[in-house]
Amino acid sequence: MKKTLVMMLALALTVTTAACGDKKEPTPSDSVEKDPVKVVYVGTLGDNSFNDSAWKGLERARDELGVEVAVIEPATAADYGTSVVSAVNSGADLVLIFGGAYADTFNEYCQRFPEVYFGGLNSVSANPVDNLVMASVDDHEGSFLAGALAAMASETGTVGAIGGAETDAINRFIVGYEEGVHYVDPDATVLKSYVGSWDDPATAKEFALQMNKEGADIIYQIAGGSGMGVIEAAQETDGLYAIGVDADQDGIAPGNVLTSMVKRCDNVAYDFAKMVAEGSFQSGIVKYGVSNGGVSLTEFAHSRDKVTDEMIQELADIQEKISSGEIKVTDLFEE
Amino acid sequence: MKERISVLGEKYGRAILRPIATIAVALVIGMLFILPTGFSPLKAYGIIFKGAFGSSVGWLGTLAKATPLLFTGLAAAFASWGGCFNIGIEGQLYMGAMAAALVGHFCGGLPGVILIPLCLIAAMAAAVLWALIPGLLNNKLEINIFIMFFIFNNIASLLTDYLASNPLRGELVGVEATGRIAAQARFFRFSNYSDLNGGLLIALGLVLLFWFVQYKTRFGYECSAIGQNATFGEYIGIRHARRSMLVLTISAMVAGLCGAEQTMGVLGRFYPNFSSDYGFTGISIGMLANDNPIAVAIFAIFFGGLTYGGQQLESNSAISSDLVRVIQAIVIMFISADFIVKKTRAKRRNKAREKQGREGA
Repeated sequence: MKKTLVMMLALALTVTTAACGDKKEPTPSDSVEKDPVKVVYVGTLGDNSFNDSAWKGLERARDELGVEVAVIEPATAADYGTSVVSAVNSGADLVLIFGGAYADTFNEYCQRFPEVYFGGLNSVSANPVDNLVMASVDDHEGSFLAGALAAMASETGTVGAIGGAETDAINRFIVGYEEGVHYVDPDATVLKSYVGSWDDPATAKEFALQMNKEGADIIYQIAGGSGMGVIEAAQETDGLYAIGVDADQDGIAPGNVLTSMVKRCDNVAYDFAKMVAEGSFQSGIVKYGVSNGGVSLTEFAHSRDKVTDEMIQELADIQEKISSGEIKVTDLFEE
Repeated sequence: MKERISVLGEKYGRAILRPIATIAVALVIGMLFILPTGFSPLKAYGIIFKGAFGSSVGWLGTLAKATPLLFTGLAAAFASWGGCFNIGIEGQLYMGAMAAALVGHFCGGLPGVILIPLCLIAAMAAAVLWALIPGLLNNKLEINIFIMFFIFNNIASLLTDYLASNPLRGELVGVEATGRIAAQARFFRFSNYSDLNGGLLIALGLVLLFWFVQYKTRFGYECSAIGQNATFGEYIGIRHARRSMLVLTISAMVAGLCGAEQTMGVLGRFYPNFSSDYGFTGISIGMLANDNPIAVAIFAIFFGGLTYGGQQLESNSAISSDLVRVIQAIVIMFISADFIVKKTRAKRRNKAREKQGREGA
């Protein structure tokens, strides 16, 4: 048996040393020169939502700024830490983790790696430190625009909003939406309901059809995967339109989705990469609202028969007023 | 004499060559998956192995990934050495991790010298409990132990998921996990640039301990006697049922320590479904190693290197680290095929021997 062990050890050694080759050769972590700047995104791509959007922004940064970009996909929440360590070891100058749930990750790893910059999105409760920049995306302002358009386009004077769950984060959208509706048409009725689930399109569809019976002809969905049910209801019902959220969902049911309230995670990712690439990193919280392209409506590519030039003009005016501060949209997170 | 040499050759030659050939073939098949990406397979493997073993940072990362596999590999190897096939390691390590997380969080007022052993004991106890329920049901009621283990793996992962996301959920917003364990319950870290922690020392200590127990003690010899042939074990006076419960208990304790290492060394909380199949990878490592603890260490480090190097590949090329999972899956596939062949051969051999024995008498 001892012989076996010795032989195994010897073999394992030769295999590993043969695989490593010359020890003096640069390792992946060393081979990455500090120039160009390297940005690593930690998140799971393929979600048709903020992760994919952020990655698009990084691809733009790669093409326009010449930074190196890479992604590390953690399997579960338990892997975020390990993924950050991995990103740092691969030579990252900037590590981006988007989504609102990573305050804990930032608190631990910003401190552990003071020489690396970190960027987040909506994890606003993370401790402010010198190497962390956090985007706070103003969902309520974008929802205000969505509400204004809904009120303009509605023929019945009743519009709806369907949320995934009754949380502050979702009500932040809905309050903005309501204010937008009432800004345009103070007498309009806004129906609200919550699916209670992020992946139940069947129930969401029922809710949408019910709202339609009660008179709503435009429904804003803020319900994640359940929201597909709202879009499906619009597709099947004459005169019912949906408004999409987060990503550009206009193409899912062309003509039946009036517009989408898009979070421009791509702009956030691009801007953060640019800051580091240009050596002008600034820590703290950066607001991404209507004024700097953090949130916006889509270009109405499939809905121009419903959305007139006057409406687009009026929306542009409202956008201007939000940017200049003339219209102040209530932010539930600041109360 | 000639026969004796060929028997020796078969025993040792195969023990070494088989696992290495298995891995080599898996790596070659893995190349086929890289080719369509247009990236050179050799370059990809170069990145993996250089990333894993080519620098001190690489070794730190590799050993960090290898640590949980050392525990599960040892747990699987020892169980199989003693004749019981513990495929419940995955569930046992979840229970161990949860127990360590709860004790570490709720008994946070205790000093480290008391708290750390307490967490470890809690982890081992929870894991043993989780192994003994199926073990005893099998023993007393003859319910199929494989099915029981599989069911208990699922229950453990769902139960801990439920506990961490509902009654025992910690303070984190938007993340389902238990509360943070006290700072003095954390294992020390070797470096900022790796998750490698004091748990490695425990694992390496266990490697030596198990090597000594398995090959140098009477207890180890008796276990292996049962492992190879239960009837023979009974014949020389070892009570099979009781001994295999003991073997299972020891194996589960090590599985529980795997969970404790992850909680106390790496994660600091219990996160649902944190294990990336450590239990099952450990079982294949145990098989590759032919139940030898030293070989377990070698293969655990190799698999750890594959995982860590795979992450480096992912962040330095367009190839997903899923490739590494494909390679691991192919290795596991070959091992299970090999396992079936070995079992049927052993059965045939035993039958032949029995026949010989009867004729001799």
